[in-house]
Amino acid sequence: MKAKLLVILFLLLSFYQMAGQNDQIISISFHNTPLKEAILQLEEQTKTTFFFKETWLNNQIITKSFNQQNLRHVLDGILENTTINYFIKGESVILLNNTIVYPELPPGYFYNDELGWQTDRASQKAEENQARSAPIFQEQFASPAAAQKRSIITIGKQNPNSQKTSFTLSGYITNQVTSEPIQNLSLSIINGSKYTITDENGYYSIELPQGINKLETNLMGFRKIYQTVIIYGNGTFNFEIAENVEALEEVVVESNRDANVKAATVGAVVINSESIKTIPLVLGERDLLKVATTLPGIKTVGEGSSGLNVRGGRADQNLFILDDAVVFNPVHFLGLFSAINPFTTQNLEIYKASIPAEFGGRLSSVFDIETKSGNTEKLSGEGSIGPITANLALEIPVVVNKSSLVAGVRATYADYILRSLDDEQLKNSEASFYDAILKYSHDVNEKNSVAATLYYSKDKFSITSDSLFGYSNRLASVKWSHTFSQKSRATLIFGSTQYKYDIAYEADANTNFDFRYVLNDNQFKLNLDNKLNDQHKLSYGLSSKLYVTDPGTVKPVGDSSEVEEKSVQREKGLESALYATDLFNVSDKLLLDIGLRYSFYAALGKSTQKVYEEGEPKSENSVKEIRNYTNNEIIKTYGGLEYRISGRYLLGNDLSLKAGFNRTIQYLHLLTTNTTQSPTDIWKLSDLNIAPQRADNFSVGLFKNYGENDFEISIESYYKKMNDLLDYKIGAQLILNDNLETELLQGEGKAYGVELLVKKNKGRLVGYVGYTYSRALIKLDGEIEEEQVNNGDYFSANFDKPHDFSFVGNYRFNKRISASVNVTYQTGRPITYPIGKFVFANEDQVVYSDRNKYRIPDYYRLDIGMNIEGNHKKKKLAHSFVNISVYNVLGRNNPYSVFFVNKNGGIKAYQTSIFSIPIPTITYNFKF
Amino acid sequence: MSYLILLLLVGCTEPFPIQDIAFEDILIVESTITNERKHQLVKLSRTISLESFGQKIEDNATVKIKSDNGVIFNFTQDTESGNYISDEEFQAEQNVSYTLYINTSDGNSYTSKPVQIKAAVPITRLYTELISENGKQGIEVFVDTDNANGNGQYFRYEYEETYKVQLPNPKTFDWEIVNYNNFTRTYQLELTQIDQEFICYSSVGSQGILQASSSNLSENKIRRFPVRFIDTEDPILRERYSILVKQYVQSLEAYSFFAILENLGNAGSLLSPGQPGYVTGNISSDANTEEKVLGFFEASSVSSQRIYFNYNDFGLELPPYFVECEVEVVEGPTESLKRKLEFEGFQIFFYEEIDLKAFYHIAQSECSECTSFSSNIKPDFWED
Repeated sequence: MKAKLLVILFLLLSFYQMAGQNDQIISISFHNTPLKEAILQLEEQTKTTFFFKETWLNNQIITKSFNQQNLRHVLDGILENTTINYFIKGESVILLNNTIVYPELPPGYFYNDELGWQTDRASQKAEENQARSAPIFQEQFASPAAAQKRSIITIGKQNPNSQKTSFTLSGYITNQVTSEPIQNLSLSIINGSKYTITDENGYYSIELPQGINKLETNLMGFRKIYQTVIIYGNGTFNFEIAENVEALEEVVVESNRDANVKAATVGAVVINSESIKTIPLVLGERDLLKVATTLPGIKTVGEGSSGLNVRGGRADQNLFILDDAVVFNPVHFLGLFSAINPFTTQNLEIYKASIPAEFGGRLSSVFDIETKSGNTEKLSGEGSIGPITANLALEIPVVVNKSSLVAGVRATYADYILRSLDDEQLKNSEASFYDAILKYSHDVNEKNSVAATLYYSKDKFSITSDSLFGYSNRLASVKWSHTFSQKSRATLIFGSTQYKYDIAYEADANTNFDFRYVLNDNQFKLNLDNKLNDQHKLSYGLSSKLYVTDPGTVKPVGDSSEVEEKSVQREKGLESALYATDLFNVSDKLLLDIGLRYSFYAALGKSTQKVYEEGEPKSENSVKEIRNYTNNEIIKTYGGLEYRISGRYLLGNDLSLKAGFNRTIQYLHLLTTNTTQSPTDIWKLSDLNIAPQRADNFSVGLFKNYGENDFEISIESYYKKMNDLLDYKIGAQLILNDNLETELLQGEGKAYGVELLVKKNKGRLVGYVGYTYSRALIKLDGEIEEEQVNNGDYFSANFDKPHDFSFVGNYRFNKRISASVNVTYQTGRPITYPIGKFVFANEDQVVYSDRNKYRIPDYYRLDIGMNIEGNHKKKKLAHSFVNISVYNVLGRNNPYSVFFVNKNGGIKAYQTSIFSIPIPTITYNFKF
Repeated sequence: MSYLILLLLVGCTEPFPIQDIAFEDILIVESTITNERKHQLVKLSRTISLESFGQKIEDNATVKIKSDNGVIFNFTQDTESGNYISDEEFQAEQNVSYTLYINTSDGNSYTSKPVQIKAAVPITRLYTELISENGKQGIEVFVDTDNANGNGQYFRYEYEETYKVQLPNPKTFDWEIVNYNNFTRTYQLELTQIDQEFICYSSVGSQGILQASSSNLSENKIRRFPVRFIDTEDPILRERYSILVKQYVQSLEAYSFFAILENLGNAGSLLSPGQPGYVTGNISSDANTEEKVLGFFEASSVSSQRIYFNYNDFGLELPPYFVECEVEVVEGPTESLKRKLEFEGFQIFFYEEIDLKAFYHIAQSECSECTSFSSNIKPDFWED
C-alpha cells in the first residue's frame, strides 16, 4: 500500500509539471533513418530532451517527412508502427513503451481497491463498458512481490479506442541454458481460471483479459516464474526458464501444479527427474519409480518386488512407456532399482485414474516416461558414482540449434564385489545389470521435427549356484511431428519393443537346460491435435500393435542332457484402437475432457486351441474339440468401447471439484505363481479360452491451493471394478504348459480408496504428506469347487495394504546444504499363514489358511539424506553434488515375506527382509 | 561398505520361532495301495498346532476300501503304530477302481474319489557315482528308468537304506548294582559275561516326497534321477551299505497333489515365494463340502531294486564313527562309575584287577551296544 501511494504521488507530481506544453512547429524528413537517429535529430531540432530506453528503438527504420507540423504530430507519425507511446512534459519528451500516460485520473480511481474492478474478472465483465473505455492504471499495482520476480512486460500498444476486452498472448518457452523447448509447462493466471500448457515445441497460447495479468509458470524441475503482463493487444512473448539445478528449494515431486486445480484430469502426477535428487536414496540410486511409490495410490508389495500396484490394480495393469514405446519390465535386479536412467529422463507422467484416450491396453495406469531432448548448443553431461553403479549421460549437439543426441549408460560393479565374498552361496552368485539409452532429436524445419530413441537394459543374476537368470528390454521408437498450423498438428509414431528372459540351469544330472521367453510388441500410432476454437480442442488418432510371443522354449544343454527340446506354441495378437478426445471448455468454470476409445483385439493363428466342455473343470479330460488355425487366421476377437471421461468444475479461484469415469480393457496378462511380480513371469495373450480383463474406474477429487500455490491440498477417492482378472490354481505350472488355461482362473476384483495429499511448495521446508486408505479385493468364484478360492468369497489381494502414510520433506539450510527425510508407514501385506501341521511321507508338512487371510507385521521406515552442492563459482569444470543417505535409519527389520520350509523332517519358519539394517550410501554426482 | 550392502541385498533371511496365529483341526489321510500282495495301509491323523511336536493319530475310525467289482476290504487300527491295516492281504489290480471310506469316531464320514493303478514300470538301473554337490563330495544314488511301454510318466520314489555298523568297543558284560548303601554310598557291581556283538544293522526309511516326471524328457525315460546323496564323511558308509529304492507309478492327479505338497514345504524361493494355499486332495467330507480334509488315496504299482556298496569301492578314506568314543578306565566301584552306568548309558567292555583294585573299561552305549541305536538282527535280505 505504501508503494502504491508513492507511485500515485509521483504521478500527481508529474501532472503538476505538465503545465507547459511544447508547441513548436517542425519540418523534418527521414529516409531510412534508424528510429534512434530520428529521435536524436528531433531532439536537436526542438531543443527538447528525450527520455527513453535505447533498446526500445532498435531495429526500427523511418522514412517519412513532416512539413510544418507540431512535435506531437511528428511523434505520432514516427512512432505509428511501434509499441511506443510518448508523453511531453515541458522541455522533456518521455517515451514510454506500450503505455499511455493519462493526463487525468479516471473517476473512482482512488476507490478501486474497494471496487476491485481491475482484478476481479466477474465485475470486470459486469462493467465491461467502463473497463473498455477506462484507461488502465494497473501497472503500478504490480505488487512488489511479483515485481521482484521479473520486471513487468507490456504487450501491444495501448489503444484508447480498443473495443476488445481480451487478447491472445502466445510464444515459446525454452530452457534458458539449452534453448530446448519446454513441454508440459503450465502457464496460468494466478487469480483467474485461464490456463494453458506448452506443447512439445514449447509453444503456448493463452487468452488474457485486457490489462494486468499475473502469470505463473509451473513445471517441476524448472524455476517458477511470476510474470506480470499488461496486455493491450495480441502479441507474443517468449520465456526462457532456468532449470532448477542450483536451487534446492524446489518442490520435490509435484503434480502438474496448477493442473492440480485447473486441469480436467483426475489422478495425474508429473515427476521431474532433476527435482527428485534430494530425496534420500537406496544404495545411491536416484529412482523415479521409487519416488512414485511415495505418492498416494502407488504401492509395491514390498522392497524387492518388481511390480507397482496403482489404486488397487495388479502389477501387470500398468503401461510403462518410454518415448512412446512400451517397456515391459522397467526394473533391475528384482525391482530394487528402476531401469530408467534418471539423468536422461525429462519427466515421468503418471495417470492413476483418467487415462488419456490415446493410451490403452492396461487397466490401471500409464507411466509415460519422456527422455530429454538434447542440448543443441553445447556439449553437456551428467554423471554419478555410487556404491553399486556408475552412470554417465551426455547431451551432444549434432547440428547446432537443430539436432542433438542424448546418450546415457549405467552399469553395476556388483559382480566384482560378489565374487570377492567369502560366503559360498554368494560367491557363486552373479548380479549385474546395465542399461543404455540413445535419443536423437532433430528439428528439420519449423514445421517438422523427428525424434528417435534406442534403449536396452539387461540383467543377469543367480540365486542358486546352478541357475543363471537373465532378462532384457530392447526398445526402439521413431516419432515424427508435423505442425500444420498453430492450431493443428500431427504426430506419427513407430515403436518396437522386445522383452525376453532366459534361465540357464546346469546341475550335475541329465536335466541341464536353457529356457527362453520372448515377447515382441510392435506398434504404430497416428495422433492429430486440432484446436477448433477456444472451446474445443480435439485430439484423435488410431493405433495398432502386433504382439508376438514365444511363451517358452526349452533346449537341452550338454550331451548328457535328456531334456527334450520343446516350445510352447507361438501366440500372436493384433490390438487396434481408434480414439478421439475433446477438451471442451464449457464455461470458465467447467472443463470437460471427453474421450472415447474403441479397442479391438484379434487373437491370430497359427495356433491350436482346445475347446472345453462347459461346466467342467478345464483339464485334459474335458477337451471337447481341438481346433487348428492357419497363420494369421482369426481365432477369436474381443473389443469394446472405452470411456475416458473427466471434468473439472471450479468452485473458486483455487478450489475445484473433479470427477472421472474410465473404462479400460487389457488383452495381455501377466502370469505369476509368485506372490509378487518377478522377471520370469509370462505375459499371456487373450485367446479362445482367456478373455480380456476389463475395468470401470470412478474417481472424484477436491483440489485446493493456498497462497500462490504455496500449499496444495487434494483429496481423491476412487472405486474400481474389475472383471476377468487372471489368477491360478495353487501349485499351477505356468512354464512350458501347453494347456495353460487348465491352470488358470478368472475372477472379479474391486478396489476403492481415499487419498489425501498435502504439499508445501515454498520456503526452506518443502515436501509433502500423503495418506491413503484403500482396499483391493479379489473374488475367484468358479462354478465348480476346483475353480474357487476361499469358497468363492472376496479376499484381500497380495498388495492390499489399507493404511499408507508417507512424508517426504527437504529442509534447506543454505544455498549449498539441505537435509531431507522420508517416512513411510504401511499396513503389512496379506499372507497365507500356516494353521497347523501334520506328518505326511514321514515328514512334517504344514496346512495353510485360506488365501491371504493374515498379514505380516506393519511396514515402516525412516530415511534421511544430506545434500551438498558444490561451490557456485561460475567457472569450474563441473558442478558437483554429493548425496549422503541413510536408508532405514531405525534399522527396522521389515519382513518382506514369511515362509515355511521342511528341514530335516521339521518345519522351520523364516522371514526375509531386504534391508534390515540402516544402509548408508554416498553418491557423487557431477554435471557439466 | 558395498560389501555389507550386497550381503544384505541378496536378502536377509532369518529363522523365527513359529507361532500359532490360528489353528484348524483337519483330518489328514495318507494311503497308497499297491500291486504288491500285502496288508495294505491307511494312515489317519489330525493337524496339530505349529508349536507342538509329533503326530496326532486319528483313533477309532472305521476304514474300508471298496472295489468297483464289489469287494470290500476292512481295516483295523494297529494299536502299536496307530495305522489302519487291512484285515487280509490284497493287491490292487489293473482296471479295477478302489474307493476309500472313512467314518471317524466323531460321526463324520469321508469318501475318496475312485482310483486305479497303472501298469508297473521296472527300474532299469540303480547305480552310484562319486560326485560333488555344493562343494561337498559324496556318493549319489541314481535311478534310470527306461519305461519302454510308454506308460506312466509320473513317478514317486521312496527308499530304505540299511547299513552295517561295527562297534568299536562292544560290551562284554551285563552289570547289576547290588547292596547299595545309602549312607556310605557303597555298592557291589555284579558282572555277567555275555557274547560280544560286534555288528549291528540299521535301517532307515526315506523322508519327504521325491518325484520325477518323464513327460518333459525325450523318449519318456528317467535318467540319472538323484535319489539319495551321502556325504563321503557320513558314518553310515563305514561298513557295508545297501539301499532299496521303490518306484511308484502315479496318476497325474496324485503326482500333482504330492508335487504341490512338496512345493509348499519348499516355498522358500528367496525373493519371490510361491503362492501357498490350502490344497485339496481327493478326499472330501460327505456331509459338509466346505469342511477341510487333506490327503490323498492313491493306487499305484510299485517296483523296487536294491544295491550294495562299500566306501572303498570308491577309493574313499574310512569315514569317522558316529560319535567320538570316549573310552574311560575307572577304578571302582565309585559314585562316578555308578552315575555313568546308570544315567549316562556307559557300558563295560573290559574289566581287570591290578593290585587288588578293580578297573572298569567303559564306553558310551553308541560305541558298545547295538540295541541302543541300531539292531542286532541281520536282515533277511542282507548280502555281504
